[in-house]
Amino acid sequence: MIVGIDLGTTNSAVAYWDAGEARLVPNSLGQLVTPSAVSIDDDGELLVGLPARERQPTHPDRTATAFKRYMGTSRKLKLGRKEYAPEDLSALVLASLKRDAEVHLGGPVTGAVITVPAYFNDKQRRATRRAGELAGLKVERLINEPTAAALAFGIHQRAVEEPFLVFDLGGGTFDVSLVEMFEGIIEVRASAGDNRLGGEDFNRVLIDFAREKLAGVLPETHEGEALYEVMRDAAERARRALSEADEAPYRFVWDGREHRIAVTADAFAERAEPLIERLREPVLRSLRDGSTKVGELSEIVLVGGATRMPIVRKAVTRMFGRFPDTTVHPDHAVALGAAVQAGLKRRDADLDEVRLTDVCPFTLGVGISERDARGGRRDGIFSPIIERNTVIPASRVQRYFTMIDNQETIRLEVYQGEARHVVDNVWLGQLDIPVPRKPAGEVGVDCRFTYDTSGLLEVDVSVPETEISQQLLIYDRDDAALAANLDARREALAALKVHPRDQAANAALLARANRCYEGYLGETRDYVGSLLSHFESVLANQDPREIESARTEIARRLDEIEGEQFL
Amino acid sequence: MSVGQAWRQLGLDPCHDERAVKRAYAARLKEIDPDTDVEGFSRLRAALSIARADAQRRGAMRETIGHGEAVDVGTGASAPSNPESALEAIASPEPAPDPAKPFVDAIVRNLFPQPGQRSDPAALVGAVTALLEDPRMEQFDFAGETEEWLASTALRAIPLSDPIVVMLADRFKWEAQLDRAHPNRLLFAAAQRSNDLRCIGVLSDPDHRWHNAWQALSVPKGGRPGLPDRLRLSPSVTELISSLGYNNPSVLQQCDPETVEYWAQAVKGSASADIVPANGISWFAWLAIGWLAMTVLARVASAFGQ
Repeated sequence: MIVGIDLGTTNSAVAYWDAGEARLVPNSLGQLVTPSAVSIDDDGELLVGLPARERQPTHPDRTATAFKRYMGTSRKLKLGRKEYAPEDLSALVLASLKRDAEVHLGGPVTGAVITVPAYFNDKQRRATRRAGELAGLKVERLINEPTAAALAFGIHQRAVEEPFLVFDLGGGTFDVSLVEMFEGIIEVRASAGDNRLGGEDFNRVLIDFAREKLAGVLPETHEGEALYEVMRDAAERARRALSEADEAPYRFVWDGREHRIAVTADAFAERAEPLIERLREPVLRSLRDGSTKVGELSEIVLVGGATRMPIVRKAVTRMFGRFPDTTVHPDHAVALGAAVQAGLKRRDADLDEVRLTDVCPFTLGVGISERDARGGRRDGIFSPIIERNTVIPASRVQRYFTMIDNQETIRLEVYQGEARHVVDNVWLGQLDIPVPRKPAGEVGVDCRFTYDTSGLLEVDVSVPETEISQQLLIYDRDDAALAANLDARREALAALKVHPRDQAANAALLARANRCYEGYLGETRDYVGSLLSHFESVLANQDPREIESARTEIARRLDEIEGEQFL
Repeated sequence: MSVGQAWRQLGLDPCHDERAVKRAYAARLKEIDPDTDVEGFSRLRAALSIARADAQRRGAMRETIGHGEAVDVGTGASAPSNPESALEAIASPEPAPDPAKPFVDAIVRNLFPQPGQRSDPAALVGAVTALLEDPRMEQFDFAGETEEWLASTALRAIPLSDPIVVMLADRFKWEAQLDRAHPNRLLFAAAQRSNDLRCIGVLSDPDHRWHNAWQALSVPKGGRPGLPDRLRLSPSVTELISSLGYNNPSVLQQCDPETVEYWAQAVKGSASADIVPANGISWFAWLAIGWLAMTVLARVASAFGQ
């Protein structure tokens, strides 16, 4: 079975294609989305999903969230005594989703279509693919998140003829895609985005707001530290509450004292204005690239948890001059679309008349030197080979020539980006190829870029004169090291003791009660403490029926204290 | 790929019907697997874009010739086209946005003054500022159209548009286009103009170290500058010409060509004197050779003398 997986910054989900429909898989807690969180408990057992996320404020040194933001970087995250790469942590989430799917489907899951933000660069894509392999999944394809959402939307709206726009603001990334449908072909015309903009940034706005208000009272704090994580949890709660009300409390307990500030929707909107402003550019660029006017769009489809925020919805309505379509479930659409792609990959009969084409959202090319009109040499000029919004798969070749008499090698540096000078673009890799010694300009190399449907790049360089050819593996030294010991790492991850699946609900409740205990003072704390010890004694008795009823009851009482739990 | 090949690839006779092109493309796409057949897919995409462009051209031709009889070669399923409504769309200009109309009119009046009238820079700046404050500037369509209209209008009204170009460039961040590998052509041109104006503004400052050089270059004096002028200004004019040639070639083009040519010649003359051909012999070597020759001659002479 091949499943579709939405590997998100905040939440992940897994879905499959069956009997002409995409369906989501519930996790061990019966929920359709699983927080992208990993934690190691005191017994050294691994927790993934909700129980792990609940432990974030109480055990920041043993818990990791939002690690998708570091995919493709050499940054390591520490859990307990061990360090993990972001792709290791993603692999643990993927493995957990894989297990959920196997339990639900009653058979092995061998492959997956995994979604990535459209604006993920080559390194981030490769890291995601490795995460899948580390989780024991064959990664059939990487698909862009807005494209997946477009598939989920389009599969039910096959009659729509005008282009529509997918506006995908997730936990950590922002993507815009302009999509057109005709004759069963779902064609992405243009994509643009910002791979550093999402719900997490809105949380940061609230954290900064609180830090300012409490300046002098609170010590300095940074990401990953206990205080910061407590404040982040409070920010997430306040932000959710602001989606429902005009004012929400931002409250947390630190060092035995309760801090409480009231945040109004207006104050939040004012503070978040710079982030809202950053939503404009990618939309404008995708519309210009697709030479489409807003007036021609049939729908504006909102996807991603952060589009639930009223300030985002208001901004979208204002900028497009019309109301967006909110019929698609913002947290489910991407996984459902990935499942449709999995069905397409399997050549499912129900999808016989459907085809999908996507684009590569950024320009790929090499760095060159050129002579200007006055004979001076300018280095570091970007020479594009595959233009942005080229339909993929694509293969293009370009010839470059020597610049100096008797030049012995040509160095090709591969870059991704839109800037004219390579220093402002993302460096992907380089290769030196020997050339025969001749006068300048008489020897050329052919540089072929091939961009596959997963958005991964391959570079082939050949010298026609000598028939020497080389393939550039697009990764730098860090990546090479990571790719080399994939098997060893897979074994290391597989050796981690996983918290028993049937205990997940108990672990989640315990973690939540513990967080509540630390998050309140006085009578409330004592009350939560008594609930905790009650639950612990019930757990000790090991009577499943009793445990379940106690769990429901305690969850209800915690809801009364802090409001309903969210995903 | 030729146009004929493109149509054959799609299995279609040449026509003006873009929908038929898309339909044929869809049918061909379903026959191949792009994942494994990258070459085939590339060919199909090329065929699509060529045939689409050709169909558009045929459509446009058909409209100018008249309805009906033109190059419509037997695609029974051609889309019902309504030339009248299409014509109407072309004939009626973009309905001017009402609240913004007075400002738009004021901008046009001051950029393209009627004979006998004068452009008022202050009124121009005021009208543009007022237009930019329109609440609809938040909307993509309105903002995008206004931005493009302002850019193209300003470019057509050089130099009367000088007072607003830099201000518009700041507001719409046009100058970011200068660093793009694929800039938007219109906005790039506007950005260049704004960058040039900024550059001239900087050079016009009497305290700038290239100010005198800029004056020498930009103010046609007639006749050659005297030797003292040349000695005084040569190095900085050289720097200025090379900097402008690199960063703001159009500023250089605006200067009096004869003056620039003269300075470039003078500069080249003095520069070439400094250059020693790489394979030549330096004056020091010549000196050494000369000295050696003299010594030898002296020896020979003295030998004969004895």
